[in-house]
Amino acid sequence: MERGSSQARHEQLAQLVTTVAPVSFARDRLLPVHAALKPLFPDAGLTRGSIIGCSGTAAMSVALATVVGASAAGSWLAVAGLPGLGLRAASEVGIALERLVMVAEPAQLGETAWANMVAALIDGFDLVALAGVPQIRAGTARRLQARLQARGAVLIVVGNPGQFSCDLDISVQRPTWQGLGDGSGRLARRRLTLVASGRRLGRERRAEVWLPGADGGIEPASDVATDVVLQPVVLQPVVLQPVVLKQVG
Amino acid sequence: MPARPVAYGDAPPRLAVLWCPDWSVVAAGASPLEPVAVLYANRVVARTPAAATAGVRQGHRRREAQRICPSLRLIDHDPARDGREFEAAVRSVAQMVPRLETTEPGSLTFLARGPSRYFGGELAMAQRVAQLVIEAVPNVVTGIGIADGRFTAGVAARQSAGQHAAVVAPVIIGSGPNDTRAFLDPLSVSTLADIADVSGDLIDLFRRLGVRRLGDLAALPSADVLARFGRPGVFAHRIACGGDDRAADAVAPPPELFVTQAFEDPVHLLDPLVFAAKQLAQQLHDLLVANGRVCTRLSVTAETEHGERSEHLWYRPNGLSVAAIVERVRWQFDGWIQQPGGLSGGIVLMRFTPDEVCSDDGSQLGFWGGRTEADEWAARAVARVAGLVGEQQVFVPAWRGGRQPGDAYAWVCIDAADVTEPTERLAVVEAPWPGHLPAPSPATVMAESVPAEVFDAAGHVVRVNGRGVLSAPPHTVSVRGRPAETIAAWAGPWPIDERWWDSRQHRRMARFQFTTSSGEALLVVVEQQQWWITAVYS
Repeated sequence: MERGSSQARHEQLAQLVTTVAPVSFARDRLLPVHAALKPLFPDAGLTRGSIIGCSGTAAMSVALATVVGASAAGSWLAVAGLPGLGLRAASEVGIALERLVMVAEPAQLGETAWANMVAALIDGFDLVALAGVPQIRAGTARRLQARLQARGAVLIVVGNPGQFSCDLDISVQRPTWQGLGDGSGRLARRRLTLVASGRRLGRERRAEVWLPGADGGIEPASDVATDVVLQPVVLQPVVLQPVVLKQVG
Repeated sequence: MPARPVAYGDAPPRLAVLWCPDWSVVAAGASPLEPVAVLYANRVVARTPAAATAGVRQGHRRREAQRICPSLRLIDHDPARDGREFEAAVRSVAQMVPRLETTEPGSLTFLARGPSRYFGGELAMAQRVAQLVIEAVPNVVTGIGIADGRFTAGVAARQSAGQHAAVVAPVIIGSGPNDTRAFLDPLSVSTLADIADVSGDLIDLFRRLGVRRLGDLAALPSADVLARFGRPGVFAHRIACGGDDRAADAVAPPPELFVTQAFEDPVHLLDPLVFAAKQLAQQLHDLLVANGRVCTRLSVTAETEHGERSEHLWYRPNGLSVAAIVERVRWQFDGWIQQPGGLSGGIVLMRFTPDEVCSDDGSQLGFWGGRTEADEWAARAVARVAGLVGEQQVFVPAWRGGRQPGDAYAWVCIDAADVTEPTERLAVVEAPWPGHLPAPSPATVMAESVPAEVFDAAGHVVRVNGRGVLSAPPHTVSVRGRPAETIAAWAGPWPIDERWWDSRQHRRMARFQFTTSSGEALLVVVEQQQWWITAVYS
């Protein structure tokens, strides 16, 4: 009798498993990430619904580098609170500018209006980058986080994440610029050690990259630092000459 | 010798097309006397007759429309509302005509031959159908055209709707290739873009080559059209000749090909139904993809426990993707479930039967730069955010060109730009811009330059003279009151003299790059002996 009922319960459970199991594997819910940054992410991609914090000296470049893979693959990127984003640098690193939208001055909004704006961005964009997160209640942050997970977007917070709890924090160690001398040369490329840490990561994950690389993009850096041989760039003083139009004939 | 009609396979079927112009405003419940427009991606897609009289046209930007008609009320585009409201029209016509087919909300297509015999001729049938729609939907404007082939009937329906007559006057084109050609020949080639989704670039090319009328295009030999314009050209040529617009390899699939979902517990709500439809659509898609096929016409059927039935044909020339099927199922059932009086029972059966399939030639728009689903989502989100924070606060990038890091691209406000049509604003004009700094560019460009002070090793302010000579090598930099930082490496000065011909915009400055001991890299300029931080390589 007892055995029979437990068997029935097992069958019931087995049926439940098929109905409540997630439709897709968590691994399938990934947005692509640039090859050089793959070592930072446990699944080698941005997990949909996660929050990624970028902090430190090169926070802006790192935030751009994080979303490059997905942006190039067709996702839209919305930025809010980053009026100083260098568009030329963004296009050099590989962001698709045709799928980029910026919302200016969100700090002037009240908490509710700000949260509504972020919620609208989460609804429509795969990638949302925020900076200058205002003082919001923990409940508001949790609601936004739940919405992020339901919708499957990825939130990138540049600088202080405030009440948001990041799934992954990317910080920068040992930024080293190459190419600039004592009165000569020019900034050519920067070597960074990116360190990812987070609640679900057992240990820190690291990646060595050139960000920006020689052409402004991202390149994986080998362990042996090699010095680039730079051609000296001579920038001549520019004085534009007036165009003289001559009448012919 | 007059050009003879070119025969493309079988004669196209005799079709009736019912078309409701500006369906989106009708669906939104706007009165025709009030100026109202529906916006999508900041462009007008539909407007009421009152707004049309004031001069508002499809394709106007929001600002433009508001300038022309200041009292204009604007409504956001909602495809779900359009689809749901159109179900009322579909249901009332379905009482009379079987196998109705919808391409998009606002347009109905059906085979004309059967119903016209039953109702005593094509004219009587057309008037009867138009009357049914007008009774079912308040404030609707409608037109009806009957002709050979979908394209010709579509053009006829638009002409009929454009008459603005008190009584709908159907436009009926006689059967046979001669009548069809006589009707189509004088029309402009841009008709192809409006009705048959031929790309605007191709139409533009036709025009520049002197092919202005459909008759000019139809007079060309089809082999030459194929050689010069490829497949899209042949398609345009075929329909301009009054040929069938269906893909040449479109076939009716075997009758055993369908997918069904039976619900043991009757379903009363829309959401679980749509959820099941998603899985069913995926199943059908997998079946078809395994054979390299795509469904262009799909019959969606549902039945309640008491035998009430909703059956509908959906047509999409490029093939119905899973998302497109689910969207259409939602339109159909939303209108059905919410009809006046409602359903007497829950839904127990749902079936998708492909009615026409053709080989999947990869004509998925998103792949070649057309709109993808992500683009649609983003366009809607942009409209919502603009509503929340104000249009002046939402920006997209546009190419400007210039020497300074902040000059190359500028942020333009979305009320002056089209979010989903970036080609124009992002077209990079490769001017040389001598003297601009090569890549990498700074990731942060200051909106307003920050004043700084630069000192030499002896503690004196570093000066740059008019010839670009430094008074001493820079040693420390202090940014707006912060403690001075040691400069680890530097380069410059790179002088620049811009717009010397314009006394107000003339700028003469020298640029430097610094890296500080903390690892930061700065772009610094000196102008009128004042140092500024203009950008940070953050």
